[in-house]
Amino acid sequence: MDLHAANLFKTYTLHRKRVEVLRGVSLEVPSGACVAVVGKSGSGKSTLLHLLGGLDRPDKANPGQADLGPAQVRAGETDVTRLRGSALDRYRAQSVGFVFQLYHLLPELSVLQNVAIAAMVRHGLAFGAQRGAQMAKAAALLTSFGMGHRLEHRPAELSGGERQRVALARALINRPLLLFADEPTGNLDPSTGGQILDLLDAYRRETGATMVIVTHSIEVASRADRVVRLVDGRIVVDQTVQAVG
Amino acid sequence: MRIGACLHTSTYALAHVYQALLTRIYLTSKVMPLLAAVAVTLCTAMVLVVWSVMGGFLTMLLSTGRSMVGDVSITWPTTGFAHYERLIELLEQDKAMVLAATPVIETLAMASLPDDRVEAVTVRGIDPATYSKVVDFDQSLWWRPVTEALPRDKSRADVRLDPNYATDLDQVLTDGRRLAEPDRNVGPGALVPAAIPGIELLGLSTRSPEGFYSVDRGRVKLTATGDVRNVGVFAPATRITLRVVPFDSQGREVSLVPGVFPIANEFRTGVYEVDRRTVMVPLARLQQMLKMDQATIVDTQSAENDAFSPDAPKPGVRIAPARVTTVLVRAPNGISPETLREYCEGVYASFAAEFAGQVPSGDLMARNRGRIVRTWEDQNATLVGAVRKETGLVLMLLWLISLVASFLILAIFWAMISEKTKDIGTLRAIGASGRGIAGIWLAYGLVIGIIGSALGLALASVIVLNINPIHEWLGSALGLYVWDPRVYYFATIPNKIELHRALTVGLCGVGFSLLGAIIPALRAAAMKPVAALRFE
Ligand SMILES: Nc1ncnc2c1ncn2[C@@H]1O[C@H](COP(=O)(O)OP(=O)(O)OP(=O)(O)O)[C@@H](O)[C@H]1O
Ligand SMILES: [Mg+2]
Repeated sequence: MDLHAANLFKTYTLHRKRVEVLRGVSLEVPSGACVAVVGKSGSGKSTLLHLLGGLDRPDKANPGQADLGPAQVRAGETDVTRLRGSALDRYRAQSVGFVFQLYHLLPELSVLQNVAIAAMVRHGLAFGAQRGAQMAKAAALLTSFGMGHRLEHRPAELSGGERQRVALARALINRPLLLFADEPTGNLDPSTGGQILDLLDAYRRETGATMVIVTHSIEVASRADRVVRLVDGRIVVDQTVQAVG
Repeated sequence: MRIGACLHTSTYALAHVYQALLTRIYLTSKVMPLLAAVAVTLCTAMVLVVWSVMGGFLTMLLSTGRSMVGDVSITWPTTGFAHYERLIELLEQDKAMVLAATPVIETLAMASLPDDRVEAVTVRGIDPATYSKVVDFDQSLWWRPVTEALPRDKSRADVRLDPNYATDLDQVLTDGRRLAEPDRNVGPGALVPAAIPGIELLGLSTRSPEGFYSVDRGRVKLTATGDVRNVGVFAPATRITLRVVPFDSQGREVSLVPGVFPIANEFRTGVYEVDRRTVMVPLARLQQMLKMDQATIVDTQSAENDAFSPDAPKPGVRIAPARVTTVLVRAPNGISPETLREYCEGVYASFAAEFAGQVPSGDLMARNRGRIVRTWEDQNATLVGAVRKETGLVLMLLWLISLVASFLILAIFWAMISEKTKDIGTLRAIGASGRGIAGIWLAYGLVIGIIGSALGLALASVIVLNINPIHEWLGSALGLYVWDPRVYYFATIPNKIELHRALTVGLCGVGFSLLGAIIPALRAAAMKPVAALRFE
């Protein structure tokens, strides 16, 4: 599924002060490609990812930029910026997998439940056998991520790398064609981070999913097909990895 | 754990699986909402207890009417009215409306009691045969042989259970039913009219906490060793003297007339005021004492006007028929007291027409509407009305207090949702809808309401069903007597839970819980996924 973003503006008004975070970001990601987004802290990387993943909306009116045309996020045939209500919920549930900067696991749920709940949300009503199938699928995925021995643990009882693997499993259980990962290796040591990246690579090879990964690490960026750099709310460098190196 | 398991299976059909999962997990992992459930429990229990007791009091008050006056009474006080047999005959013509009617005289008297007290009492002259068709007279006679112990008399200490006294008690019951005792002075077969006072009047017996009466000065018995022993069976050896003030049919006072009655039995209606201040005697004897029996009158004051009709012919010598003050009427089941009252008013009007000038006229009755023909509720309108109002008022206050429980749930949920902001954001990010999020919290509120209300109903049942022992325990342990029979009429506190009341309270408890959950649930639903995700 290809991803297309054009003219994304995002401005926050805090205490009557306008903070312009994104100032006209456009981005094309072909189906099956992996793009790394780099940039200073506070440059708007997470904000961009939220707009792409349908978690937030770009500004409607772009002051002084009338000539640029409307803001748009399109995923495959879907115009995400136009989605409302349950259609947007469905986009998030079916097309998108999200890995957050800070894991965001539900603390009261077990590892298995944390993963299975994404399937439950996606499939809505489920009865006996179907529900068992969801659980089995979650367990199998976690096992393939090397978490088979931790299914009944709570997130608080896991290490950072383990938590990130659970978060990744939750993002992938519905087999989304779009994956957004916000610094998936940010809090991990290089070898643990490497394992996570291996899992992502394997998933992309297997499903042909499109990926956007926010990162600070050269190591991560070098695995991507392309790297984009955000400076002052604009993409200033959009190049292939070879050029970065 | 079992509640959780139930929820686990039952909510699948109703809600999305993830909602059921989260509701269940939040229920079993959080303490705060259980506190909210406790608040619901306390509120529902409180409302149901108060409603049951006060509503039960009202019901008892109204149903006592039947045991006291049947359904409707036709009364012309003090001087009474004549030709009552004809009135009863007219009333009983329509069997669909009137089951039975009975003549009664009700008057005031000074009673000299066995312990030399003199008290003002209400004397009721009754005709036992017809009286017991109208009111539950037979049932109210206390001294009788019984085989079933009272519910709380676990040790079967009630002396009426003692088979040794069955014969004596049988005799006492027979005497009670006919309001007469064998007259030993005259010989076998002779009877002397006897009185039946309310059981609280004489002060010879005390009510035990279990509900039976033990006689302080009862029958004396010689034991095998020759000792004299008080065996505590009602001994009708006492006498009561009643002094009544007769009036003639024109309301003129005649003189104070004493009558001495042996005591045949005692009655208990459960209405403390009645049991404390009423004495039953045979109608014929009371008519004699009050000069209301049939008499030949030589009227010397021919200039005097008849009380009821100034144009009536002035007689010289006439027969004055017997009078009573009251006719009590009972309707068959299904006829309301109000319907019966209307019917009786109609019958009375034709009766008054038939005996124009001799009985209080229909006009007079119309002008005193509600004063001659009255239901028990009419007679106690002030009291019944006051109890109704008070019950309503207290219930309203309690509902207001229950709103506090609603607010408690609101506050607890609000706090929980603030705490869970990040999780809500996460759920939205993985595709849960705002409505779905609201559903989690509503289901949560619903379950807390159901658990809280169910426990509340259970608690209220335990309290109400045992309210009398609890009250006695409070009294004996802490000296705290809330229910004074002199204030509340009944010797025992109403202890029945009506299904419709329990259901209403339970549903309201659930409703109030949902009400408290709605605003926080809407807030959770309105949270923007990103704002929630960025929440620290
Ligand atoms: N809700 C908000 N209100 C006001 N300002 C916001 C809000 N959300 C984000 N910002 C601002 O937007 C800017 C970009 O935030 P964002 O999280 O996208 O940065 P980032 O590039 O992901 O940084 P990091 O690398 O540290 O994660 C920040 O300066 C932040 O203060
Ligand atoms: Mg960020």
